[in-house]
Amino acid sequence: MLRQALRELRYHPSRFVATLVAIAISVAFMVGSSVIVATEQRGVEHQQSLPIAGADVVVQVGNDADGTALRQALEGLDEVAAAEASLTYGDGLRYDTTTAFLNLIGLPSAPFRWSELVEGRWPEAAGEIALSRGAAGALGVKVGDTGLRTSGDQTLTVVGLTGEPNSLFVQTGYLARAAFVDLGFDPELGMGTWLVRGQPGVDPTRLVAAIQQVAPKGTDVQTAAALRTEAVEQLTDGFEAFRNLLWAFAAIAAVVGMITIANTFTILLAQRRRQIGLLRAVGAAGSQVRNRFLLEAIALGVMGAGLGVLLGIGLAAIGAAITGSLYWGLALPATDLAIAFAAGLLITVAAAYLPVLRGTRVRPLEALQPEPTVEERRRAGWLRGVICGVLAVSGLGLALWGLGQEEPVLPAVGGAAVLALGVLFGAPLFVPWLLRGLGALVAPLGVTPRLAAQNAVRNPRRASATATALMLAVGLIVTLQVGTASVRATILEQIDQSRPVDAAVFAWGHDQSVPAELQEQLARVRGVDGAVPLDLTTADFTRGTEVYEQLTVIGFDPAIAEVAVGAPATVGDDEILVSSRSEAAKDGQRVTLTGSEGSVELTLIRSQVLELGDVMVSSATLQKLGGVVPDALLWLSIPDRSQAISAVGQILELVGEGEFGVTGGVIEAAQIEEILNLLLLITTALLAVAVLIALVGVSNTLGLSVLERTRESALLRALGLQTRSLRSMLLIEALLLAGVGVLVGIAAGVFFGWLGAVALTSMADEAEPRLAVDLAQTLGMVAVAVVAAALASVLPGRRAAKASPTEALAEI
Amino acid sequence: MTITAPALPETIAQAVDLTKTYGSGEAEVRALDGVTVGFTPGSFSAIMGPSGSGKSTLMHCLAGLDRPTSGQVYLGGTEITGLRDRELTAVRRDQVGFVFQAFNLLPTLTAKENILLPLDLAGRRADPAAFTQIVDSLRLGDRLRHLPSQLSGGQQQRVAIARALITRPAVLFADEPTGALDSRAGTDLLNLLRTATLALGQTIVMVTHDPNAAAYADRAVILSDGRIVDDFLAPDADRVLAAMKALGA
Repeated sequence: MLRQALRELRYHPSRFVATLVAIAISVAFMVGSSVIVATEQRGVEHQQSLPIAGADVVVQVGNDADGTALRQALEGLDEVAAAEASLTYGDGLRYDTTTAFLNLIGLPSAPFRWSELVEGRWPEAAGEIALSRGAAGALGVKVGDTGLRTSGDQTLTVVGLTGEPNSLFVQTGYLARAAFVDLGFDPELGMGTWLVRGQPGVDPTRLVAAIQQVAPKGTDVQTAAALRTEAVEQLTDGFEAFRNLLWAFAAIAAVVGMITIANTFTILLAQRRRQIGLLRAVGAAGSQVRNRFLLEAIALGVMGAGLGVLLGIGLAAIGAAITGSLYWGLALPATDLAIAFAAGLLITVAAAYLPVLRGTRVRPLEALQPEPTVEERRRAGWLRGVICGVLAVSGLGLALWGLGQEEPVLPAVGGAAVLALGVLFGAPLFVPWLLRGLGALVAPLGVTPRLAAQNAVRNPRRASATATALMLAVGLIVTLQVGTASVRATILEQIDQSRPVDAAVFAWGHDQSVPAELQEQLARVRGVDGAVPLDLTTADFTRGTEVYEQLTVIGFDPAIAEVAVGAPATVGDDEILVSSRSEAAKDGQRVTLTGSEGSVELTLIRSQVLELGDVMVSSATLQKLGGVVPDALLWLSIPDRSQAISAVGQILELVGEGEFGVTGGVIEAAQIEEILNLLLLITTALLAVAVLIALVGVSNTLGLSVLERTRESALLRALGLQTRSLRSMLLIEALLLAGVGVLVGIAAGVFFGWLGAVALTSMADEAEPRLAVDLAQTLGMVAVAVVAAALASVLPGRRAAKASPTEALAEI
Repeated sequence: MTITAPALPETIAQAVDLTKTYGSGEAEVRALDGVTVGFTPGSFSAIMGPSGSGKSTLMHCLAGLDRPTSGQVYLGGTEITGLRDRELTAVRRDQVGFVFQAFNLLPTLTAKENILLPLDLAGRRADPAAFTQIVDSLRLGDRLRHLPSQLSGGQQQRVAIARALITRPAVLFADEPTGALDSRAGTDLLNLLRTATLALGQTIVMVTHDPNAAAYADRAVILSDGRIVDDFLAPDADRVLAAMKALGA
């Protein structure tokens, strides 16, 4: 029987392609995410433990330990071949305008060196550095370049490049051990971590025991392997969580895949009714017939899952090559792979089970009649209606109730899931109506559209199943899009309210003027609609018993009305403006400011135009206080949100990362937008997999139904329908199906996205949730679905058109 | 299960007061109207009639493919009318052989596998001597490893007959077996069927509308409007044609 199952697959491979693709993609997703996470983890493990790679045992002492004594003790041991202090610290190095964060390691002596030089030489004196190739690339330097600066403003010359593997997270650089003197460390005595190499043949555990006997109390002695494992364990949780998150998306893809597989089997069994009937007539029991088909499903599942595993490993290898962790080798977690394979097999059989059950329940005689396609005019049943109604109402109720609670996310999500289930399960109830509705719009356009509209609904159950897969996938994506857009809109509004100034540029110590040139450049940035320089000074702030020392005081300039909201028309010489966001500040309080040249008593006025912690006085008062730095603060206005991100980018570049800094509402907003956009991009890409499977399902449905309608198509052709018209008929059918799926998906997505946004923002008390739909993204989604549906109809269309009228009609 | 009339001792297949109706009320169609007929072992009978006469329905009921609305069917001595699906399936597997007009074979099985299908389903092995005998008499020796798509129409029908014979069924039912064949292949087939009856003692019931085909049988049963209107032995083409014409009026 297995042989026959395989033969069936071999002789009609095209029927099963869609199913294989669906299974393979789902499994590949699981395997790929598992492998790449494991590989990245291994890469990070190795990177982190590079410094101890050359050692057998690592000794860690406290800060006040006697390094010299320890060293003597270590060297005195017979078992020890070499012992050395490990010198390492992290720093941001700057070259020109580029900065990179490096792990700086004091060059270990030869036994403890793990990397190789690929160019130049090792650093010998302080002021020299050898960089990993990745670090050199990131900074844009080559051997011989000087001018590489540390955060402590020391200059380094690049003398060599090492062959370290690229890392996603951290780059390496080597300094001469003497360089650590400047940092206050004796290179001989190190920073507390000692690397020890044992004599050949000495077991690391024995070495540990020997060292523990001579080391001072409180010393931590471990084998390098043990230390590495410890570091690994700390990372594992994070990586595992990430992998689980990816698997959640894979599960979604799998669900969509199951719908496709179930649909495929339904259609296949409908097509093989005659075979089934013949088998039953010849005396096959119902279970024997079912088992044949289940065996086919199993064979399909094994093949698809196998393909998926290979595909997943391949994709992960590509990903690892890009990030550089492939250097350490591909990690293939056997358990995960086995689970993924089993899952692939399971979803195939589970998805095929019901269709097989229903499809083989055919009376032998029925199946032998040479009748046309069975038109399932059976209505979906009131039982389904009741169940779906209950699910929908209870889900909605739960979600809305949840919103009023303190912890709204869980009940809201739970309610949404139940509601979604009700909608999906109830698809056969409303999809045919929608199809007819859409079809009615199209039908008046001609004979072909009318035929297409009728064909789309001739098998309501199958059409619903196809549309459901698409609804699920599109719905999820739109939910994410709307949710993210809404959250972003809400957060931006929040920022607007709490930060009155879009952007402010200043020197880090508040002690320098913003150079006139920089002011001009910033004012010219596209999107900046106003730049007002302000004078600053520092003074001590006394209010009653409260004293704030060295507070930054801003001098009032009437021009700030152009760049900030809530600016007063004027500030009196006896007044001081304090941020209205300060709870302690009350109008009328008496405040004394003491500057370097004088002291002033002022009356407090609350103002919206200041952020918490800023105070403002008139320019006359400022002069009285003394120590005024003119143009030390530049307020910028960026009114057009749509230009905000590019404006912020330019501002950040102009200001650089040296003496001046930038802050402000728009800056904050831009950073949040960047993060949200990245998040959205990634999740959309992950969900796109599910959409892909759903669209494969649309093509599959069309293709197989075309096979069924061979005689019909031949009849139409015989009666005079053009090939082109036949193809466009199929195109319209595909568009109708996809259209319904996408429309319902978008509608549901908007609702669920709004629900999610409300739930999330209600956790932050003051926020008023705003519904925002990113029109561009949503329309893009529609366009993708339309194009994909069109593509999905191409192959079936060609097959239908190839049918010669007489050939197909001659079949008895 | 009430037993109204006992099975006549000489018959291997029998219908007693068989009625089959479709639809209800005004739209009711009586495909069979109280048909009683028996077939003796080793006989080759032709059931004939114009379209709509109920001949196919009668065969389906006799073969256990369809359930009558009322009446009994006896096959090989057992009443099959009251049997459950499982048991009925077993009867079809072991006691009945089928040859249809077309679409007899499973497209992914070779000729040999198609022939052995009923035995495979029953989990039994074929008797090699019997297999060889059937294959040789049907001249299929060099076609056994071919798929149906690689066989001509006549060859396919012969494979179907071989499958029908392999289990030595009580009755072999043939529904318009020559309908899709050209006259030469058709004649060939009918001769083979005839030989089977003589050589193996196989009972054959054939439904046909072709008077020439009926001439190969020992007996002709003519139906019209769900009832038997004529029943005679040793039919020849002319007599059958005349009987059919008489109905047309």
